[in-house]
Amino acid sequence: MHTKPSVMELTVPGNIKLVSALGEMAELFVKNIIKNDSKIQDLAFKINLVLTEAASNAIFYGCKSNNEQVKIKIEMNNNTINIEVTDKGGGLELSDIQKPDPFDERGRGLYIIKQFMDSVDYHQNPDGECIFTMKKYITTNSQII
Amino acid sequence: MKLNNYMEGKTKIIEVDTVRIDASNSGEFKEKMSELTKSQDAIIDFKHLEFIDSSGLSALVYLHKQSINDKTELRLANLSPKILDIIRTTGLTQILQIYPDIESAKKDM
Repeated sequence: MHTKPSVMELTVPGNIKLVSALGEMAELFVKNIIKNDSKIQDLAFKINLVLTEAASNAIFYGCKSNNEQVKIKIEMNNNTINIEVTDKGGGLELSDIQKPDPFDERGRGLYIIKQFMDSVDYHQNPDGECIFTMKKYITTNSQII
Repeated sequence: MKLNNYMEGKTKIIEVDTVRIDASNSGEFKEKMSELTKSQDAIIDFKHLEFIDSSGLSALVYLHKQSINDKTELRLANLSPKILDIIRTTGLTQILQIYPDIESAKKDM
């Protein structure tokens, strides 16, 4: 049965203090859309984590000031969660993300995203905006409401 | 961010009284914790913590390296299964000293 996708879209200032609220909101969104499955708690937590990582990257590297904005879009349908994070462009290199040396103090954010999501992509649109996309397939017996 | 701390013998026990460490507060966590654990054997009690991101993990790596330089012990206790999963995924179980609770962390300190 085809279900209309549920979508959450937000445009927020490039202020790092907002990442906690963005992550928590994404977790609540997933928890409230998918019902009847205990595994959803873990999935929703991971969506919180990957969105926190992606939004932090967008704010740190894609915003020169608090006046610049970051756009977040989460779309859920029967079997996938798609997340887009758009910024003014800082540039990311996704092709060579290795497991970080445990003593390194940086470089775990994209690695965490790659581990917990099924696919990750990054491209620039004609307006020069950088769009980071992540996809997670929902493989549980979940029910979208 | 509140970090309650007290001494048990020569060991400082630090209770992290926040549910979330991410890029919005990891700098403050690192700075305050660095002062509290400088040249000091310590156990960090994470019983209230429900979320940590890569910037929080980076702070833990920094504190771990500081303890190596200072030749002190830094032990982490009461981490939730979700947070342990993130730590395992990033390979940090290889270096961080993780204990299930404060009692086991206090042994041999």
